Amino acid sequence: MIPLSWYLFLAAVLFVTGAAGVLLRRNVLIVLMSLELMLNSVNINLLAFGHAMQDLRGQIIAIFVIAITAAEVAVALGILVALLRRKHTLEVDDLTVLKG
Amino acid sequence: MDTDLIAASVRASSPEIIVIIGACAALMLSLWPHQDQQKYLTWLSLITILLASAQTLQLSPRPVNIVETTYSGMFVVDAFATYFKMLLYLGTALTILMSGKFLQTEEAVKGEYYVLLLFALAGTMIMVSGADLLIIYIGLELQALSIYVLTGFLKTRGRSVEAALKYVILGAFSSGILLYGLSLIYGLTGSTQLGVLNSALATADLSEPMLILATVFLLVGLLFKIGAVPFHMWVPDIYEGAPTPITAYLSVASKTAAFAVLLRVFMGSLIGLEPLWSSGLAAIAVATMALGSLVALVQDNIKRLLAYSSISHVGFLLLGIIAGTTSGMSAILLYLLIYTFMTLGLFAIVILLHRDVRAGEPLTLFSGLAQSHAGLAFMAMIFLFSLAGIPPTGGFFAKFYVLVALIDAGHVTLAVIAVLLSAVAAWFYLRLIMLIYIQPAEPTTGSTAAPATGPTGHARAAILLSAPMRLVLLFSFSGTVLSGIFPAWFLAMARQASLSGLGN
Amino acid sequence: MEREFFLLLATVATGSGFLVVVAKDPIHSALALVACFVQIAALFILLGAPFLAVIQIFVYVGAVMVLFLFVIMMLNVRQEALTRFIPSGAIAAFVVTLVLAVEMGLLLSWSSDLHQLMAPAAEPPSVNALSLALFQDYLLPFEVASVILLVALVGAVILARDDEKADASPRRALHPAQGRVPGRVATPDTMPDILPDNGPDTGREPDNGPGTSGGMRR
Repeated sequence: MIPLSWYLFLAAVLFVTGAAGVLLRRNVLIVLMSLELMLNSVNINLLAFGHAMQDLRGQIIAIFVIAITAAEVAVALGILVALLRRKHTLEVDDLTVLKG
Repeated sequence: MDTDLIAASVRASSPEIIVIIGACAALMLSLWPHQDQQKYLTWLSLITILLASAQTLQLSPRPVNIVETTYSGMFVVDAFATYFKMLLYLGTALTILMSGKFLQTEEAVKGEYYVLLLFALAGTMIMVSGADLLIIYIGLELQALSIYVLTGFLKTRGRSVEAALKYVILGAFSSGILLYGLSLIYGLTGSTQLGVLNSALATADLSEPMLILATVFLLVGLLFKIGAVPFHMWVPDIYEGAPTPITAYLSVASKTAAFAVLLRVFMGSLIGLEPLWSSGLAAIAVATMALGSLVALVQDNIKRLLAYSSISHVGFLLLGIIAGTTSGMSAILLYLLIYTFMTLGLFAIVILLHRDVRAGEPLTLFSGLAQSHAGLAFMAMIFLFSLAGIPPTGGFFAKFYVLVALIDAGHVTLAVIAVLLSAVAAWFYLRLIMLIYIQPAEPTTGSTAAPATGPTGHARAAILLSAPMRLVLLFSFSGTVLSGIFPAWFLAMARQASLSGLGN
Repeated sequence: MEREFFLLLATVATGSGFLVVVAKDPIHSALALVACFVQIAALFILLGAPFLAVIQIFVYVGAVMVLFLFVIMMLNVRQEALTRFIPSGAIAAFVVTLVLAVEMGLLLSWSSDLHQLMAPAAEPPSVNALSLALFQDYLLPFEVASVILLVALVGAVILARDDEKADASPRRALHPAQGRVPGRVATPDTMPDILPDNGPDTGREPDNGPGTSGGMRR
């Protein structure tokens, strides 16, 4: 019905879009959202392979990825809140006290 | 799974269970508002680590080439894992000892610090014992999450929270890349278990594009974790901003665990893929050493200097992977042990000299240490000699065995480059020694630090060696010195561990 | 009919994913990401994983994105949204991204055995089968994942907690307008307390200005 490569291409496109967001955007919230996009593309990959191989392990790994990513986002946003209590900017460059 | 299997699995993972239970106990203890809470928490953490290490030693297989795989092939207990766990116990225990006074100076005494450190230890233990890419990833994330929070622990210091944010972004990005590689490997072989991967990839066609992609992504994800060039982007910033004991933990324990994973996966199971990554890794190793050594020369902040120094050490360690075989791996294991000793020792001294985060950690903190505290200065000198690789300290033998392994494997050019770059790197260590012994103490320049007291500038008399710090210095100093005097004994242990690491 | 569904979902997912990265306002970005997640959930159903699709909606859309939106609204960031798009020094990053895209595209298209059609699932794995596998074969990852969630909980509370009220230390007395812990749900009547622009900066610890010694230069 649908070739496996279509799903992989979609996942790759989303992955690169997310990576571009992380590398190119300055706004921290958008960087975090692009990270989410990257991790979702991994889920698409896992499920596509699982479907192709008729194996439910892909789904189980995807469940773990979802859970852990959600935890990571919570911590990242906690750090952001702690940071923004003190400053009022979200630009990654402006946040730079530490050069480099 | 039936009861027997579950019982066996629980028994095999009992050290991890001990650590997690200890962390939960610490979490509950931290809610108790008592004056000596920090002291009790330190004791609790150390007792937890002691119990876990006793259990690890008791579980360690004899004879050493027995491998016990439990949890349906996810978790393995072998000499490799035991070696690394002992290393991690050492690193974490010394970090906990170093933290007490530091937190009090920073007015950031919170019980959760110890809780998170213990959880990080549990995460690293699971990483090194993992026999499946998924559980390795999960252990990695457990460790990473704890360290993200610990990096930002000094919430009132902008640098600390900023370092945490950068670390989160970097860590999540690299996890994404690692996971993508994991998903491709899953797609190629239908499994994520290292044993299955080994046999599946042994007969693989190495020019299969997806395999190349998967290997590259997996390797890059792990290289991010150890801070190799060109994936070291924010590492110096993170090291500078984090609380100093956490910087010590990052540069020692996190790296050790990440290297364990790198070794188990790339030298153990995926060894068949070696032609794909060996030349790339060689280039990365050289670039890492070069950048670490050269940029460190112009640093004037001690923590950034140590960050670049650890980057250059990582480069050297990567050469051990290129050397391959048992001698390469045992050289890496020995190097990691000696590296733990000397780096933690030096960080302990940095913490002792630490006044206030506001003053930063300029190199001039070390000036004139010899006049005021000769004993500390001598220890610092030995640590710095060791880091530079000067005999007869342990650091020399660490580098020596890696070079021997390289030459035995035929990479003579790489060995020569490594020696040259080490010589360059030695310069900034020697500069510190000069500061300690030759420079007079200078008053701290123009910062909002504590006012100068008399001609020595720093309130030197205030370096109070608390008992935990004495312990830390004792362990790290004796470790550095002993490994320089009896390197062969340590090497034998490392060799045993690497034999089982390669047999995977 | 599956192909049409896939093409539709993939197009919308790609478009909204692109919008996430390109939008100036974080709110637009967040909404685009929600749209993208919903498309991905639908794709999961096409892939024979209805349970995962529901999990995706619950966790990603229902928890993670709502958390994002809370943080965006709480921190009142829309003023700062109108900024320069490309940071300086982005040429290298742009090149890296381009190289990555090209490499992935080429390698995926050259892979020989991916172009076969996938048969529709004989029967998608039931939740029963999933749970059996999860609690038998994947017991250890499951337990450790729960520890991870505990750590995230503890960590988020430590980070976002307002210490100055809990601490009785006089040295860290804070501006009185700074209010309660944002760890609670940001209901409308608590939100005004936690907007950051409700009073002068307390001016404590100016350790992030250019005058601080301690290494800001490379």
